[in-house]
Amino acid sequence: MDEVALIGEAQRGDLDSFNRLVLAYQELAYNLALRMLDDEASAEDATQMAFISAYRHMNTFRGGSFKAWVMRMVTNTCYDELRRQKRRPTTPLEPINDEDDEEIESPYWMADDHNPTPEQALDQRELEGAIQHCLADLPDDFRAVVIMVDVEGLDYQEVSDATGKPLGTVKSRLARARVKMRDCLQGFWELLPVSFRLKLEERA
Amino acid sequence: MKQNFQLSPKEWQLLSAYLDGVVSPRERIQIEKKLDSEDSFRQALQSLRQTRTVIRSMPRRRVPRNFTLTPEMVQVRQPARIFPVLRFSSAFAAIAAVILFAIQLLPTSMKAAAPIAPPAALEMSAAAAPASTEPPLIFWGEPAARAEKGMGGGGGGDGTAFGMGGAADSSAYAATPSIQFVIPQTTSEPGVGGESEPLVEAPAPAATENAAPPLAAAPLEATPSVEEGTVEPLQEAPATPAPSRSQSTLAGNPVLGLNLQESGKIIAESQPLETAQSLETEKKQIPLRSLLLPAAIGLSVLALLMAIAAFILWKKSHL
Repeated sequence: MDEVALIGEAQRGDLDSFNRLVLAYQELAYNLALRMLDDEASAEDATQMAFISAYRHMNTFRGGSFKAWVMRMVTNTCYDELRRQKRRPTTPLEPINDEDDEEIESPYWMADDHNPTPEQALDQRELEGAIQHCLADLPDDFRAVVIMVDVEGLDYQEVSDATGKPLGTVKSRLARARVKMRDCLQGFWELLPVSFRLKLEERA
Repeated sequence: MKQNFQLSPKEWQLLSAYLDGVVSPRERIQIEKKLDSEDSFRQALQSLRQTRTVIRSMPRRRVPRNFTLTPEMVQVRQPARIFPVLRFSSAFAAIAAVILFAIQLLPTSMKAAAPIAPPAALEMSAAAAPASTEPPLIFWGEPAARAEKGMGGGGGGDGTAFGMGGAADSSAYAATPSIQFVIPQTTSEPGVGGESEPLVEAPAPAATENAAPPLAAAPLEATPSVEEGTVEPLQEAPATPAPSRSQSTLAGNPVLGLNLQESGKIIAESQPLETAQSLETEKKQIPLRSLLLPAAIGLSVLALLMAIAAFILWKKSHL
């Protein structure tokens, strides 16, 4: 059964048809949520919530790119989660010195997670960690656009549909996001393995 | 990737779009011309391309589990049975507030429409009081303005308006128990004496003339102490002495709004007890009425809060 038929059946309330669409797009949705939220558990929850919301609002899909429509559901769910996190920021547990009840002021705990040295970032997660770190520093709207275009491979029109913004806004946000990413990644570039750098430059 | 390029945001946007191949033919020509001529422009494009390549090199994660839905997940929760009542609570509160405001306004307008009746009733009730050795009182205006015993300032207002009294002295009151609109002031007091000016200034001369003939038929006793000849209409009624003159003046009084026959009738029938009861009833209504405004304001606030809550719930349910 093709996608259009599945969408039609799902709009009539057929859960099996909708689940087949879920299987087709769940990896895309989960990776978008993961890069947006930078947390696996939150990404899992957001993906599930997005598909539940998509099923309940299937009648609002009026044609066009179903992939973009699903991405919109995921993006909106991620925005909600990010807003919730900003309203109720969580504090990580920190070890307490039992002897004097003072926090251990080791360099590890003193380090700012958002400004790690290039060595630390590469040691922890290597290239992926560096990119994710730079993505996390972007504004939410910029991050969504650059992930959808450069990570997920959506075209400009699909991103425009997914974000509800005009094409010009998508172009502008993508360009600014890329420049910010370029500036952020400069610190990591020289620390990449030479072979890997050469490989990337060949691709570019 | 270490170079810094001084490009404008518009040029960066053009380069980024050029990288993805989403520029117009005119923009493409413009960009390629710059790429041929400006080395920094070319290096900027190269840095953007490298950045895009690095971002694209991010590995895609496999999903930790399938996100297929079960019927339980998509089951729509039935709203509570009280929800329909809550849904319209804001509207109910708003309507109740409007009704209370209207009730608050209505009695005020009715009260303002009939300002003459209460003074007349009060006056008549005062007139119906049995005569005693003490000088009778005449009440003008609201009960709050009631004068203490012996204070005659209330009668006739400033004395120039209606010229009440007819120069009666205290002995005249005992002789005329049914005529009790007499000012308890002594005759020496200006304004309440039998001066002719007040009658000349009577607001409706025609009314005075019309009221004069019934004076003869009125069952009023004469009061000899009243000085005759002070008022011309009264001279034309020889059987009607000064107290009748005061009645005739009263009958033509637009404030009291009563002719002689009516006032006599009411004087005979009116009972002070009824007036007192009506006053008490009115006093009892005042606290009740004063509660209406806070209740209406409270309901308005409640309506506003419920509307805000309903909007928030509606927005949450439509996410």
